[in-house]
Amino acid sequence: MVDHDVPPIVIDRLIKSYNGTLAVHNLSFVVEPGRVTGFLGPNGAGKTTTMRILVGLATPTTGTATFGDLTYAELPHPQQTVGCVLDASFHPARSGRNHLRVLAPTAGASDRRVDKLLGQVGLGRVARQPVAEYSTGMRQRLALAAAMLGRPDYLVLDEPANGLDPEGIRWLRGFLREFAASGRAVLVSSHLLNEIEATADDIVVINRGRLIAQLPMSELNLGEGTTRARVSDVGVALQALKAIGADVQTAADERGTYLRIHSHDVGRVGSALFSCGIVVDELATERRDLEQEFFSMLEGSR
Amino acid sequence: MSGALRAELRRITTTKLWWIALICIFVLSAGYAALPASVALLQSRAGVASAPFTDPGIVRSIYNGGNVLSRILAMVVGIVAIGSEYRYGTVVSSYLATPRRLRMLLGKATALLIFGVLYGITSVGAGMLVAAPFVLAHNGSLLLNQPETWRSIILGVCSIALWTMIGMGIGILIKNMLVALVVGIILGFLVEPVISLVFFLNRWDQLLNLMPSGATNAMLEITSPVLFAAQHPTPWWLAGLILAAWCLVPALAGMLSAVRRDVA
Repeated sequence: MVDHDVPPIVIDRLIKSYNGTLAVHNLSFVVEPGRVTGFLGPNGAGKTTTMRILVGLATPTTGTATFGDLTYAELPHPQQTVGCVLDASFHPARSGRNHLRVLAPTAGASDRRVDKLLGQVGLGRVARQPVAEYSTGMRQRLALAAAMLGRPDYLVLDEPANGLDPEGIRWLRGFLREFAASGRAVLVSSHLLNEIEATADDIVVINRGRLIAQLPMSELNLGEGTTRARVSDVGVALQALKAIGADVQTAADERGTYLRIHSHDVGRVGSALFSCGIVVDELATERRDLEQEFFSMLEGSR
Repeated sequence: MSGALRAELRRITTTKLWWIALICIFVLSAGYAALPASVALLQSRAGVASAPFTDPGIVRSIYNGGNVLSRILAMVVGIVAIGSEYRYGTVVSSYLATPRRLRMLLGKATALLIFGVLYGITSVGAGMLVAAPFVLAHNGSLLLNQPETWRSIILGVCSIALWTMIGMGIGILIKNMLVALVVGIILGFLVEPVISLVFFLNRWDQLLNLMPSGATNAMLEITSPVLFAAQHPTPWWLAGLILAAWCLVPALAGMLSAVRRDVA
């Protein structure tokens, strides 16, 4: 049920340079409410820089990053509007409960709300222990609880699944889906591509600070079957496959060039290759997934 | 009370340093108050001074005997309050909670001043507890009927509170907390006292009055030679302004630099 009326997050012609090096270069994209937007890119692509600018920790060289029309610093109640998980940093001697209690006065949260949240993220029993005794996964849960303290309309999460166990990752996935389903907006970066595939409605891909792609996951037609053929003569094989009307393209992986045929009919592909008399090293069906798409997008951006 | 201030008060009370400092200040202040008291006693036995425990300057010196140590501990609390935020990266969640950084930093400064007042009261209170037996055993007076005594007590409390601001300034300007602590303690315990001692021994009162400790002595109107008090101190109010400048200039410089820079 949609019960929130939330304007989108707008990244508009954002540029950030550090000593002449461009970390973010003329980046524009929109994070729609009611959807989970996955933010992808290789290490150093500028994801974290973009998110830090969005929440006011760094100032852009030019351009804007806003929630609706307002920058983070202009929000009247920042914690009640935006929940952030950036780097999970805690004072080691402070207990998890006290970490939240320190953030509670500005978030308008009571001690009761703090205790309830600690229970929800599964830290109820260790709430009064110093964070130094927490595992990475427990710290990540605490960071998520801190983000939720003010019941925000937006979530901005940088690698939130880091250190979570499979159960925690499943919990997070359900949580983000439910959050977005209520009409609120989620921007989540992750290097776990299958995690994003399972969670995101839209993806934004950047590389070297530039936008490579922004599109809904549905347009990727993931899960559609293809067939992979590794042959001795690519040119001959291409002709033979086109002759039978197959949608075929060349692709490459660590083992070299291969053909990707947009069909699951291995028999038809195999007989076409057999009839032109070339050696077939490999013939296998494959499922298109986000990882494949991600790397072909990066490949195309070079 | 604003959310930013309540958050900063909780930030201080949820770690141990504040009460460790409080206990240290009480114990050390009692010890340091006994020092000018004993010197005064020896002077009176040797016949150098008659009835020292009726001399307002001496009595105020005992009350404020702990100041020299308490202010360093107050500075340490100030350095750690901001330095631990950089050290453990919690400054990120502080800025996320209060993105108008000056508001966050002013909240922190106010919380530190509140704890500084607590430390000041503890230090002067310990000094008064020590002064009482000396004074009463030697036909002296606690001088609590004199407004100058109360002025010295209140300014003593304020001066310790102000030293938390020197700490906050150092803690922002030197982002590495451990380096900031070493610098602060060396400046406070070694460099400043040695320079003051040189000025004191040469009787360069004008320069001595400009030093943080000299300004503190003049502001509190204490005359004990143990504390290198100038023979011709500036008036208490001018001394107070000099000390305030020492404390607030680094704090303001730090705040203005922190407002601008990106969080690493």
